[in-house]
Amino acid sequence: MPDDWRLSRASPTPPPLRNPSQAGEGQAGGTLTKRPGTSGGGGAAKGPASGSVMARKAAARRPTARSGGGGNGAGILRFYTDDAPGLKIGPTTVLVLSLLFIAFVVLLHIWGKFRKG
Amino acid sequence: MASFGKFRFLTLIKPVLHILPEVAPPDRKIPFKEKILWTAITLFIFLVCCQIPIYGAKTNKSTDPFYWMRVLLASNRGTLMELGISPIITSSLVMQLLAGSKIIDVDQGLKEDRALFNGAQKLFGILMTIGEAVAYVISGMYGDVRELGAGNSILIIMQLFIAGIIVIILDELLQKGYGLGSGISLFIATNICETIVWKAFSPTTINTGRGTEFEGALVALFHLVLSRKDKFKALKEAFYRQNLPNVTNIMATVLVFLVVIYFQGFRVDLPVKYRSQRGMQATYPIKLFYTSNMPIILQTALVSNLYFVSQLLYKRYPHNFLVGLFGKWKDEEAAGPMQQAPTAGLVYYISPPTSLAEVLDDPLRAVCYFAFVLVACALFSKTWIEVSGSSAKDVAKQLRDQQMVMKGHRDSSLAKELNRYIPTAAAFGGMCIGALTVAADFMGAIGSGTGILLAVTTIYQYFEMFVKENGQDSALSVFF
Repeated sequence: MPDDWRLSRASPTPPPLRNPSQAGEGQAGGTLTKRPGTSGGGGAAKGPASGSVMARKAAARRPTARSGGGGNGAGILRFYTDDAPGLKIGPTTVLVLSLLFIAFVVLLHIWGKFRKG
Repeated sequence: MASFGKFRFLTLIKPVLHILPEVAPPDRKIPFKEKILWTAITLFIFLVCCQIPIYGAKTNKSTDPFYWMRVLLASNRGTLMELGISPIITSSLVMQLLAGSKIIDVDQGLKEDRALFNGAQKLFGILMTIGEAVAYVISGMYGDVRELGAGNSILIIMQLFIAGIIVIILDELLQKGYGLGSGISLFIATNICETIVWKAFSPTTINTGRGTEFEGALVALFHLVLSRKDKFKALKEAFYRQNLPNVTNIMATVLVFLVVIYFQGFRVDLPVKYRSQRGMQATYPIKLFYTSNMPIILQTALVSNLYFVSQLLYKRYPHNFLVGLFGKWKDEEAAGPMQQAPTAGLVYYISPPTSLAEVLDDPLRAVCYFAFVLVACALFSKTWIEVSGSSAKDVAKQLRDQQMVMKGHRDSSLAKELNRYIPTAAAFGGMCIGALTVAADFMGAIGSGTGILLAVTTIYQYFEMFVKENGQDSALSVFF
């Protein structure tokens, strides 16, 4: 949920603090369920200016609601998108490396069979 | 702010973090379909790793200290996933507790500190992987070290090490937004569901004393009813057979599933309103399972590590008094290939009684176990809200940042008001989780009570994610 992250970085509270129950609880502590009826009325009465405020608010709030659904607070190790030091690798690289490792172990097995036989 | 001159653990490890692999955060929004694809790929890699045996192992017949929590640690005996997620969980457990008890000081409000703490967890996880791999090899899990030779030993350690790193990176990949949920929950849930499905439908036949029987409970039910002459006896056999999964186990499993899903919906809705806009209302739900399956994961990690240490010690120094006080073990033939069961000491009193007979035999132990699980779960739950930043204070800050106040309360009393609910919800929720686990275990639910609880909570999260993606957000909250 990359967009969530960019959004939530702008907000003062760090994102991980926002979804408390780590395991990606959908409705967990951090989620805010808006009551459909009341919110609509309140927003509409305020005209265009506050409408944009609302939109901004909504945008700021969305990450809470969404990331609560298992985004980043999901794991026991919480990974942050803040620039952590480290060798950056892409997802495809991860995939390729894992497959290479699996292939390597399989080859080891085959090689072991030949050596024995 | 960290005071100058004070020794900081996090600064110490900073240079090392630069060589740790780290998944780059996605630079665009990943569509839901693509997320499903990445999740599936991750799961595929994990499952393949679960099947490939380790190269170089001579034997798999040594004792297995983790036998009863294999499922929970998503590990498979003798395969690349031998360690499963246990290094990650252990590292997280230790680091969270260290941070929680302020032994290492982390300012969770500082971006740099969070990144460092995160890196430290990963580094510690990798070190744990190496440590566990070495311990496994030296303890003779894959055959005598002298027999294996240095080359093979190193090869095994390397395989376990790389597999461990792959698990960490896959988990990070999912969490960074390429996939859904977290790798750890996904792997545990998969492993447990696999076990349940296998126990229910396994086509393997086993020769018991009374003829050939299928391992799978449901398959066996049909087979027994159709093949036996005495239908009543056949039914009774299918429902109550002891050595193999029976139909009552399946029913208990389903029951626990339903109960957990039912409890998932328990929550207190606190009414909140926006300070700036009148009429804008929202609810802030505080769930009964506020910390979800976290207490159980931590409790499992604690127990599994206690077991491992105790077994290692007992093997080395069987006659030491202190070691005996910690735990005594004996081989158990009935429970499967080369398993050990604790017979005395501290470990014995925190291990679950396996049958009603055992409970009656030693009621003290049953009570101790029950108390231990409840207390541990409640405590872990309470610690977890502190370290994970979901305590009343943090939630109040978060609400304030969003310009929200609680209805009918002054701004200043927000934290106090939240404090009435959150620690209670956490502790009580943790205890409920613990009690459910014990109950499920006692009913003989397949994959252990802990396992089912983990699986259900994870599946429920995925279910919510899917529903949310389909835009039926409000429809669901009506039902749950």
